[in-house]
Amino acid sequence: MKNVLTQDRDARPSRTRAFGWLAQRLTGLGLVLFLALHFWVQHMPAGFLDTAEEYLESTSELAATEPGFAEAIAEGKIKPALQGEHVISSRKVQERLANPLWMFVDVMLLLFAVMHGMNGLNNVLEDYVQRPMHRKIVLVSCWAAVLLLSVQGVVSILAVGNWF
Amino acid sequence: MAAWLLHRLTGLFLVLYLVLHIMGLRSLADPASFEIYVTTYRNPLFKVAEVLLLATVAFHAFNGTRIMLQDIFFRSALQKPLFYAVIVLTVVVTLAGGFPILAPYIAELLP
Repeated sequence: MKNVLTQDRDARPSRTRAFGWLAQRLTGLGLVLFLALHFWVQHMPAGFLDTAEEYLESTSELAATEPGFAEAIAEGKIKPALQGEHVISSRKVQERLANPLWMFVDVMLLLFAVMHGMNGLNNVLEDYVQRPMHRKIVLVSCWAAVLLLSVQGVVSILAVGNWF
Repeated sequence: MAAWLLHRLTGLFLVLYLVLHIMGLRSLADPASFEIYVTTYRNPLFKVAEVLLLATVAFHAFNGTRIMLQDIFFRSALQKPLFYAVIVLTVVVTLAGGFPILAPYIAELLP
């Protein structure tokens, strides 16, 4: 039986693979910092979330101007916050992303997460997919996912600032 | 082996979550759909899942940091103690970060 690994170009030393190794560590290090900040902003009462009272206020304001919004509240699709609960609201997200620095931080978090995730997925799949052609398909699919998710994420972030 | 397997499984789970998260945030374009999206994820079952997500991210981050430290200062004798430190840190961060998330829902259940 032929040894698949020694036939495989990928098993030989290559600069591209060393770059992938380093990139995984650099994006990983960046993600530890970005995700600590992301968790703080999105889940802890640090002023970036609505309190129960603020949420009632911001949802009633929107319900007064948008009929669809009032309807969603009436149908229970938008529920009031529990006492002591801190809720992410569209108003607070808009306020935070009005600052270009926060927008930059969120775009960087998005790009780091997508690259780290897809490079990691490619690394895992390389352990199980052996035919060179199949490995190429996996690699191209991961890059396609990086491109699609990055564009979709940036579009969502920019949409908050009414750039679209 | 346990560290390798857990890093791989948490990583795969997190890629899947990342895709769902980015696609879910398309609702940011419209305040009503964003608020409906957030309300769905404020269901108590999703709150528990959110704390498990924190545990997954914390483990992957601490174990990833351990791997980087071992790339630089490799001491095979330290491999096990460092892995135990990863587990302890993961539990501490999950409890500290999970409590404020669940507290209002726990208060709701109490008489």
